Amino acid sequence: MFKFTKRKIQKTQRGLSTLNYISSIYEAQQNTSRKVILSGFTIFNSMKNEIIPGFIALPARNATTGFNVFKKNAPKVFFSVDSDIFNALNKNVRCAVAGDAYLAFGLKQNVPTIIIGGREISGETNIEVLVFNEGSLIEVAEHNLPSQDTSQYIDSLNNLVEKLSAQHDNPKIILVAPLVDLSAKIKGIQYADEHIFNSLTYRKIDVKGKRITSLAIPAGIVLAGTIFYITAILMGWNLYTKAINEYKEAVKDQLVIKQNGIDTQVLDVMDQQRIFMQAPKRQVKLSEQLKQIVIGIGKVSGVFILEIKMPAVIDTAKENIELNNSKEPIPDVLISLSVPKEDRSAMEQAKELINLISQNTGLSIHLARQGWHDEGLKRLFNIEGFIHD
Amino acid sequence: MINSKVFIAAIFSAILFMAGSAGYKILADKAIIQHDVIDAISRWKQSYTVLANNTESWQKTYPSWKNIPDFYTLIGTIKFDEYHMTADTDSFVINSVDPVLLKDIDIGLSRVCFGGANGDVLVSAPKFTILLQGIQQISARQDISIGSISILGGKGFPQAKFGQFCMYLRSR
Repeated sequence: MFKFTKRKIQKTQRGLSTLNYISSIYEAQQNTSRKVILSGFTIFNSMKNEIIPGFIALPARNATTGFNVFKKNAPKVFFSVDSDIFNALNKNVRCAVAGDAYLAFGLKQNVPTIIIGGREISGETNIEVLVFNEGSLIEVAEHNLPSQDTSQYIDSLNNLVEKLSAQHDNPKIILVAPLVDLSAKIKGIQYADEHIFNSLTYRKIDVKGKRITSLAIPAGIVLAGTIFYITAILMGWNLYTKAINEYKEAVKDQLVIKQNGIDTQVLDVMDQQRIFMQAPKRQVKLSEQLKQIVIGIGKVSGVFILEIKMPAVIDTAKENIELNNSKEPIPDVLISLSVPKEDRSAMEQAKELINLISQNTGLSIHLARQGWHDEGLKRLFNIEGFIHD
Repeated sequence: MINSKVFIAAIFSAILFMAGSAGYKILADKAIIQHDVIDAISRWKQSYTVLANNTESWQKTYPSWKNIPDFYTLIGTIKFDEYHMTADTDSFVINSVDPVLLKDIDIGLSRVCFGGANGDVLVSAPKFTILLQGIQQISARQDISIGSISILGGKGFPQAKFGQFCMYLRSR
């Protein structure tokens, strides 16, 4: 318990002691601390973006709250630091600007507020006045007053406070450390100690005056997003244009132009044409078979061909409809022959004739029903033949 | 203050990220559709090229209607005399003209059927061997369709009778 308390006190003391203010080149030269607060004469405050010779401009700070930040003429405050300070300071020293703390503290107030900050150095007190109203900084001013030990200082400050009160309709006026607490001596002012500087962040400041980290991170994020966006769109666009070009190339083909674009019906027709041309034709087989039959019958002496008909029944339609309604098979060929009448029965003569023709043609043959009659010296036969495939 | 900058940057970046992704997707999808079309075209072209090999023989095989001004020209294309056959072509009349349909597809052919008495085409040749050879040659012709063939002996020259004798003509 004792230890804890002791440590807490030590910490508080260290906390106070670590606040190192730099308000002159001399202080900068003598500085041994790694974290310093720039205040007083070393800093120039303005609400306009002015270039001051010998000063390095820091990035503008938003001097308003909430969505007002996005307004077109959102108030900003510009801090410029005496460049000699940087030359005097060790490069590894991290800096903060006292004005940032005034700004943050002032913006936090809900009522019209005036912050009076500053620091005394070499017998002169540099006073910074920040006027806030409705969550925005509306005015910045600097005043040089005598040393805080003198009565003139109190008088001057009192005058200033009265003047500001009159100008700004009795605002809350807060005097801020490290200025001496005069809330007891000057009517209508409050005092804020060094705790307002606790929220400050310390950064290395490069010679160009730009805080490296402040914009680098958001800029990096936006850059990454932009690069991603551009890359994605370019990649997509590449794919698309490549496809379009390939399409144009494909369509440019003479084949496609000739056919007025691609039409699958054209292909169907062409395919059916191919099938139609390549389909084996029955008539070719028919004529070959007919030839064989004629030759075969011709070998049988004394036979005279009256008619050979193939096929026996004409397939009237192009389609192969089944014509065979009866159980009786339809012959492939009908043959009518005339032979000299022999002195034996027609059936006997037919039997021999049929055997001969069958052997010579390879057909299986039978006499048609009522398939013979005599005509003078001739005997006529009607024969039905079947082709064996 | 810095946090707000980072925050705004992050939002901005996120919008860019989403817009970029969406843009890429839209373009890539379009490209895919385009590629499908290109694939279809190239497949079509391939098929067409393969099938086009037939087109020339198709046009050679079947005479065009355009080149056949009348019926006598049509009969003339059969050229019976080349097969040493004679036919009474004066008696020929057209029996039917039908488009050739395969699987309900009009393949651009007309089937013109004709003949003399009974609708048949009767031809004769001096000898059976000549007649049979002629029959085979005519049967082998792609532009001619024959339904049936009969050989007729008897007095005079041997004759052949073609039932359903038709010619194929290109209608386009």
